[in-house]
Amino acid sequence: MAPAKDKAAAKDKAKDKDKAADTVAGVVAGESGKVKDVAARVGVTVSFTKYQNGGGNVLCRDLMGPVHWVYPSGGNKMTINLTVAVASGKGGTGKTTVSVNLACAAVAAGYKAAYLDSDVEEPNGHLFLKPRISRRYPVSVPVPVIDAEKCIACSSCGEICQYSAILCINKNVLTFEKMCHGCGGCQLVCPVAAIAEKGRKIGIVEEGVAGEISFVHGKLNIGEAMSTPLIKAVRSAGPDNSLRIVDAPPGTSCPVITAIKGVDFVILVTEPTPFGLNDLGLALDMIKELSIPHAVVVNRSNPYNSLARDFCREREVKLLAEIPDDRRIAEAYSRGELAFSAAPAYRGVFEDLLISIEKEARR
Amino acid sequence: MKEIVVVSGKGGTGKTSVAASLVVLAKRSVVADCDVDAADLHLVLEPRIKKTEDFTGGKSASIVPGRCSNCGKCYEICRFNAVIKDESKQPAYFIDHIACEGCGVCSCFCPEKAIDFKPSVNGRWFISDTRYGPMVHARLGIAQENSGKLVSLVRNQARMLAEKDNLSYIIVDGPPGIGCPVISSITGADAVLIVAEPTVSGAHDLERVAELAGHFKIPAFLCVNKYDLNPEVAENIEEKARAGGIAVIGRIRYDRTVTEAQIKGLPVVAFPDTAVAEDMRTVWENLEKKLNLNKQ
Repeated sequence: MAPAKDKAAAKDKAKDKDKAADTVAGVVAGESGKVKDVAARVGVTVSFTKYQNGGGNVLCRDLMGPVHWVYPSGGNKMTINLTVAVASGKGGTGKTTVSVNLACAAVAAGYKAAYLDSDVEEPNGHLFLKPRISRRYPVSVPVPVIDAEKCIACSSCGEICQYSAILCINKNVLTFEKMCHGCGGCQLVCPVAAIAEKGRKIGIVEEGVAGEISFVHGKLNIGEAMSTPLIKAVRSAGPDNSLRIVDAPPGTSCPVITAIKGVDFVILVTEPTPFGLNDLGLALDMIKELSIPHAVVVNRSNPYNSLARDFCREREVKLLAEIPDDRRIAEAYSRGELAFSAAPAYRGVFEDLLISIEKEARR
Repeated sequence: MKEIVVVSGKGGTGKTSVAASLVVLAKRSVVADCDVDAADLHLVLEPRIKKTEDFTGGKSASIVPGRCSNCGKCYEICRFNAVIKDESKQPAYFIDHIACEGCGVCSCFCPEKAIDFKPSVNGRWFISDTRYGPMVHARLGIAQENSGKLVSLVRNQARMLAEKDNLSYIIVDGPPGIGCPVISSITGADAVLIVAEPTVSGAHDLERVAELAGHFKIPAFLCVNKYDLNPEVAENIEEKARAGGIAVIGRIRYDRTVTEAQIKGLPVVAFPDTAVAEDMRTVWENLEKKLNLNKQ
């Protein structure tokens, strides 16, 4: 045998493949025939995905390795209008990992993409995307202000308030701003118009860019219980006509519901453990209540553990992707690095996931 | 009696696994699962439910079709977009119960008195027996509000049980984050034990939850879980904690025993010969020592 010769041959083949990628990249979208010819010559398989804007995006898959995306010609970003939320019942299953890497896969595929971190209690996406923040603004909720001159101490305000945020005691009206949901009932019910409103700051929204990804996140003030108005502010920021990825908080109650209500598609991230699946079950119950199309991604998966696969079969929910239990991904995460760049072998996982989401969301 | 709340800021750092082991180690204790919207502690403590009660956290509005005159007042004044307009229907307005925050403003100002405003059941709570002592846990209803109130209720019940049986500790498994249910879980507690993981996210979230504990003036302790995944970050976290006046009470290694214990439905310390069980014991011994020092 002549191993040296084999090596050289392999090298040549690799060179050819690179050339193929270059050639393919130069081809104007739509000329799929030419791409197929070039690809066939060097032994790579090519698949095509048609997009709504009519442009053809070329996906060139090397049978042995990861998927290589090919940018559409001219460098123009493709427009897409899709909001995808990444949620989970249990915390720490990999929502942020999936969200940030998906955003990277999306821009690499030529999409306009936005990452919106709606886990305002503990936002983490910025640690991985390292955005340049260009805009910062506070978010407030309305709270009552009493005009003591006008107040007749009738106590109607205290009676209508369901949150014990306003009380009328001994001809004095006391407000507890942190309890107030801002419903405006006290102001409406006051017979002498003695109640006005002011804003109470609950946190800030920061907007910026991370490479080609539009970035938005919210930061809740410490000690603040009212998070939903801030989550709403994050949801309404960022560009339209892009793939908007909403990184949701954990759980199944108000914060998550605010983060995912009205999105086009939800990815539920879980891990193949009893805790992970118990909480996935709760998240599925929640999502059925909201009737949003959804599917599951299993993180820290290994081929010998079928807990999650069995669970999805039982609950009749689609399993879109499995991210392997690989120390390289965990270590990249621990350092604040993107799996997409630190463990390139896994690019394909996120690129495939992107295609699956598109397909599922368009159903 | 001492109430210890296990929190983390970031989710999935191992709160429940640590809490379950503390329950076993603390012996004379009552345990409360305050992660009411994604409770997991019951999976490893095998509670036998003795008492189940409905939880009524707030009120909810609904339009009575026969009385509604389609004036649209409710639609106009609701600030939560919880009144939905659909002119193809009769009446043309209905309440989105998921968006409704239970303020009752629509009901109060409806000229036809056509909006019912009644207490709604938002979940259930349970008192159970486990091999290791009594347990209070709950389940928030699907897509329901008022998790903070349910957390307070669970803690109150746990306190009553501890007082009745003269138990030494209340171990509370807290929710992730720093928001409403976390605030309800820690206010007035004797100590919070922060379980952190050695990642940049873990470090970032620890800072926020530590600040929260400081805000409410509750003594905080730290243990880094799975410290060997990134010892450098682990050290970093511990240093930051010490600088912030948080006592570091131990490290827990990454060990597959934790997942295996979960699959078998047992606390980690039920496998006493494993290294990770030894780590848990060290954490508890140090915590107990520090708590009793504070008492003197």
